[in-house]
Amino acid sequence: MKQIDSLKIAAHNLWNNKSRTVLTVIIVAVVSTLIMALLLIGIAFSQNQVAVDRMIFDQTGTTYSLRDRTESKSNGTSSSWTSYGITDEEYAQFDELVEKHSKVVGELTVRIGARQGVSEQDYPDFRVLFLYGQPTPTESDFTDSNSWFMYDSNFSVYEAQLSDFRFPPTERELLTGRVWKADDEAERLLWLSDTKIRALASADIPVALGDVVPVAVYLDGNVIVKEYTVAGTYATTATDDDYYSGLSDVGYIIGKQSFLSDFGALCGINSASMRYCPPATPYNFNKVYGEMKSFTEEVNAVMQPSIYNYDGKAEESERFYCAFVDEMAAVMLMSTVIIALVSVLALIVLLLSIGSVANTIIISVDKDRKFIGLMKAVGLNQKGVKRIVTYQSLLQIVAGVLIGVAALFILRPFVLSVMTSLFSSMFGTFGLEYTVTVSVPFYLPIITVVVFFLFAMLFSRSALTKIAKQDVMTTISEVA
Amino acid sequence: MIELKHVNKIYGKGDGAVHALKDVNITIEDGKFTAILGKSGSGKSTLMNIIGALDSPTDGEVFSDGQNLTSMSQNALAEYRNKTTGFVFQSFYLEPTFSVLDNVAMPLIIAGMSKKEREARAIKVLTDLGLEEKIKKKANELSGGQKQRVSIARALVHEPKLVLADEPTGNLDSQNGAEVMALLRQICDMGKSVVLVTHNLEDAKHADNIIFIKDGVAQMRGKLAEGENPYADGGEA
Repeated sequence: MKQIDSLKIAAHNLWNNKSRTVLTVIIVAVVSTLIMALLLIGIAFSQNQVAVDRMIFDQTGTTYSLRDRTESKSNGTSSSWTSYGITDEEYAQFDELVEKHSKVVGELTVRIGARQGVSEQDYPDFRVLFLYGQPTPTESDFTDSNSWFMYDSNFSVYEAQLSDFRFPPTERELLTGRVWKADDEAERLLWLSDTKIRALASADIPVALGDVVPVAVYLDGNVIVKEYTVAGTYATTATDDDYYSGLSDVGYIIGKQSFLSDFGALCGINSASMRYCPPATPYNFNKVYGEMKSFTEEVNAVMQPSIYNYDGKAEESERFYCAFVDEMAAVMLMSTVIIALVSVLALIVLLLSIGSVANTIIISVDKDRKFIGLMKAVGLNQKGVKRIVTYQSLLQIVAGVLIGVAALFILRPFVLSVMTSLFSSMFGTFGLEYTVTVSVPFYLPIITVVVFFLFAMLFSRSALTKIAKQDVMTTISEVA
Repeated sequence: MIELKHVNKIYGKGDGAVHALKDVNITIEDGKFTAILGKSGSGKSTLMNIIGALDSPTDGEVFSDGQNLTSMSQNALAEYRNKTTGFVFQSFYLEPTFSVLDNVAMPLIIAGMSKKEREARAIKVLTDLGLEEKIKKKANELSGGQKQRVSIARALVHEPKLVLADEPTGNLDSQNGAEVMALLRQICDMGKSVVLVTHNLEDAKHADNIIFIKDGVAQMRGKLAEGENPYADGGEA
């Protein structure tokens, strides 16, 4: 028998038994509305959460940070910690990946730290010093090998905070001098922020454009001193973007190549951070996010992880983070959990109600036994019977779910108000101008029909198979 | 040709078992009008159902042109019924809400024939049976005689080799009954095998051969002679 004829006969049987059909369709409609409403809440939450995150991303961009490799130990009462920095090999690989994913990487800044392998206990002895005054000091001027202090009154000493230190380029506004260029990488040049200049002035260390500043790096009694020229000053006024990027505290900018060449024996790259702001013009978010994710994964794949050992139990942790990728991962996880929760609820509703739906389908088919018997007498096989029964069930379920979709549109404002209050409580403090939307995805009714149908078939399978297998004589006799 | 060899049919089990057919050995010849004659409860309908592959014997074998029906699957038997047999029932078994045309075309629908072809064939059979004006009517709008003729049309539309009629005149008045019997005779004269189940001696007189059945025991006999009454001598074999 052709599929279309099976479908027509199924439709005919349903039409012939309107009251039973209507009853079944109503039950399916009520249950499917409830199930779809639950799923819609989960889906709407997920959609809006992602949209809000994207909006934040559009406004603030994101930061990446590559941290030094550390090994730490703790047993509850004592703890120790060692930094191994970022090795040259690691940094070379990182550099290649930065180049490869340059579309999603913005300002790259690198922080310096004590040479790798320096333990926590030694770390306080590591200093980067700016020595103001003439002439340029030499190592012999550091009279106390165990201290970074200089006792020569010709010099003023200013200790640079490691967290203030950045390698170029920078996107900050230039106040005096000139901007950093790639050619300056190997030059001994220094850029200072206006706040640092003010701080130095208040410490009676006047510094101006063109001044030569001796820079000393000191570690465990070893010192290297080199002269750097102040090439420019820039504004440190932190913008919102700077705030989100964690870059508001930059005090010094110095050429990486020259600095590492001069002081690499005592210090190295300790961490690197980058920021990326998406373009103001429309862009392909999924592509950008996908590349950011790949970038993060690829960097972590080549970086040896940090290890945290607590009471003999070692845990590894990745060293490269992308704030937005991490945020999105958390959002996705939360969305998955919420969707899983509402799905479980929907499944419970389905399981509680599917029995009655299956029963009405079985009764509906059972009432058609006379007709089925007649068709079997004239040659319809079991497969043909099952196909007609299947179409009957499917037609009723599709009709019920379609009515359910219509009901869902009526319930949509309710879901919208729930979402709006939820999101305003979650993101109201951000001052985001975000309008919550709730749209019924096209796949929701399809999934509902499929799941409903599969469960209905599963629950009514044995009864329907019995009807299909019943020998013709029994059916004919019952009919007679 | 249909052969039944040592066919038994037992309904139920244990003390309540009913032995409906007892070691039946008969042959239905091709192109012949065969009547299964017997009183109510004698097992004649059971015998017809086994011949028509609507039912299977408890033991014994049924052959149709050498093909063993008792070894066939349910689906193969369904196909056999669809291609080889046509049924006419006492209660017509028409789908009341289907049109006459759709009722008649039902075996062809099941066979997967295209709409155009099946309707053409159904219309031809209905026209041959004088029902051309009823084609679009619903089956429940017809008289008893018309319903049975539609039922016969349905039994013929797929051009089966064997037509089985179970008490086809049982629900008809004498005039319509006579017309139906004449029609069955015509079908046989067109070369088809017809098996009639009846308790009515007048109907049985149309048959070329008689299978008289009593208490499940079947006996092949020739054409019923004028004035012969198998019931009179108890119908004993």
